[in-house]
Amino acid sequence: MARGRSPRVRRRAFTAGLTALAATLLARRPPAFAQGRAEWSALPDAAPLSSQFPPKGNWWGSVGPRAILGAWNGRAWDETGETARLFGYGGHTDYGGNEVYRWRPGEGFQRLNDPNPLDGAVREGKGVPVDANGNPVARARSVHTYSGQVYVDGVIHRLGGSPAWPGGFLNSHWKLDVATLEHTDAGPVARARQGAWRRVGPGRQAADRPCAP
Amino acid sequence: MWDPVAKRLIAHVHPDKGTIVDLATGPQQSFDVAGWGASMMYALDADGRRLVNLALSSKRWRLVVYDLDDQGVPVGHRVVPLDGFKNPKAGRTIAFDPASRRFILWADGVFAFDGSTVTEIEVARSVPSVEGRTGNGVYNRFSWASSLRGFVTLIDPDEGGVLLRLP
Repeated sequence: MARGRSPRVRRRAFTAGLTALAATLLARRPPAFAQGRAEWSALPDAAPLSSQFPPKGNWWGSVGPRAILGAWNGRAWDETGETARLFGYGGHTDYGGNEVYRWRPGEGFQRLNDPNPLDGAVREGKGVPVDANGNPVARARSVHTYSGQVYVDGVIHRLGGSPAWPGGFLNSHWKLDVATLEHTDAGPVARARQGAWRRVGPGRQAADRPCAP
Repeated sequence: MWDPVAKRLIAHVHPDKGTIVDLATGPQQSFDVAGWGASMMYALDADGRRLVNLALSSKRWRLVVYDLDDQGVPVGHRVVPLDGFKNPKAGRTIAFDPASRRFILWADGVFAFDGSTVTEIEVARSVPSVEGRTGNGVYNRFSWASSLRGFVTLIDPDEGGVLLRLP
């Protein structure tokens, strides 16, 4: 109890408290502002994503196609053509559609094809793409893509992701030809040999070789 | 992501496991990383010599900075703690800015990382979808567009694209 302490001890405790508070506040955010200011603005796009959603089907999931942007998803960016493509987004329980969208500044979104029907409702633990007769087809499932979609020379590479359904993680590499919208299963990617990369985790970084700032 | 210098894909394809994929020969090597879904935000500089991972591990945000040699092989790494990024509500992603040659972090604010120091960039004007954004992050849905001289992102299904211009 502070009441029984000497004035010197109380001053020290007060000073230590102030120091700790200042350290906490300073650590909260980077302290300095860069010169100048940034600005966010809305682009005058013609068509939002929601205007291009497909009709409801057994691919719908617990969220529906709003999960394409709302769930754990990135996009494939064609830097030269300044075009974004979204290939089989949704994932897990959220949405099972594997359709493809294109987005360009000023134009907005365009859905390029329809989702494959699935072997059953995502909510019922299904998720295998099938044809009109219910037979499985070699088409990619909808996944949470995280940062795993990359556009290179007319092809979208989709690596890994958490599928609808059952979640978890795919060790897959799918390719999408953006001209034909054909899917190609390029095989697993997780059984790579160990290279020079090192685990980074609490207590481990000091043992690894540091790099220059 | 695509490494334009070494002509290869770098992907984080499994919890705690990233894989470098050579388009001609398949998987080349793997690397262990901290965390998984929430940590899968990466950016590579224009020279292909520095790879930065915005990572969430043990409820703490940090940058993991990898230096690569001229063959694209990592030669070391270091960790930059981000004590102010524990619960960012917006964005949660990282990209390389070819104009300023800095990494740009969008995470409850806009920040620049020059390889050693993280600096906040003041935002003069915003839009509702950016301010209201919560949840799962935009991953690589945040990219440089030369013609617009800024970063474009897609946030709200009921809206179009959003542009971030830096000073």
